[in-house]
Amino acid sequence: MSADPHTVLVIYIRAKPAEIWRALTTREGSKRFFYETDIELRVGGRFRLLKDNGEATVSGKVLAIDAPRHLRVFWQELTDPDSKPGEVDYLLEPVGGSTRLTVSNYDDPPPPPEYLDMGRKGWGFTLSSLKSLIETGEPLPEPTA
Amino acid sequence: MSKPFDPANPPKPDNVVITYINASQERVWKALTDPAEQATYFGGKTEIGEQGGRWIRHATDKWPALTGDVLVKEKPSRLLVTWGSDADPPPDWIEFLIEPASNGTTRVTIREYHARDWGEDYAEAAEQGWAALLAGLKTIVETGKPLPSPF
Repeated sequence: MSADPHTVLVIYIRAKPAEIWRALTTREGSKRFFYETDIELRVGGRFRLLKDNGEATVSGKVLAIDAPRHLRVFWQELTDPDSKPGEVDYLLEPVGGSTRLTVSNYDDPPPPPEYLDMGRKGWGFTLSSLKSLIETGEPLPEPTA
Repeated sequence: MSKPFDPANPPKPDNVVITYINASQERVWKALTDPAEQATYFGGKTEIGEQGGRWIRHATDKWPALTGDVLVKEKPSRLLVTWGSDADPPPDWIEFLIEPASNGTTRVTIREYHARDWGEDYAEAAEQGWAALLAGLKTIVETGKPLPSPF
């Protein structure tokens, strides 16, 4: 996998890392702002994102874990047959009363520019919804097509 | 960037930061541009003049004053300013786009256009700085309380 991420998302959330970690790594937390996440919290453990009907849309495994600060997963999209596997890295750092969450995307080769734009918007929405959920108790309203 | 910046036809940005806020464009615009409200979450006081005028961010005990030109100010959707230090030109360009998104939410995009190659460390610091601004903007609008400054 290439050494540099092609996309880095940064967001600051008024919470401790452990609270954000729970939202990211538990089924109940994750499905409120993203896909339900089925993860075994150990290196080599299972990692899947599940649609509402229970089917996996992303499958992978845990590459690195240091709760509640760091998670890195292998990430294979299942819905797009042309999709190449990549890696996603989550870093949670306490900074001055809030937590900085940095999500880095690694793909080799990096996706074409139009996918990068879509990916940045998609991740932007997901992380914004996570922040709303933690700070207000409610995620952002689901986008309508 | 060697040629002059054309606000109507901007080049590919050097950095993009996006957030979605559960509020109207008008509410987000006010929180972004109102000096008193912005000061509650971004430290210091920033006054933004009319299009064609200047903006100034007053010095604080942590940060020196900053100033620049207001190239585009289209309430409530777009703000384009130059960003830099008079002592060390040329300035960069910073664009704020405030757009309606799905179900009453608003998407805020910050695009940075660099006038020179700033290098990796600057890029990371800038990404964190803009992300902090957008996070503070989102928190004040959605919760009414400021986000503690990460810096």
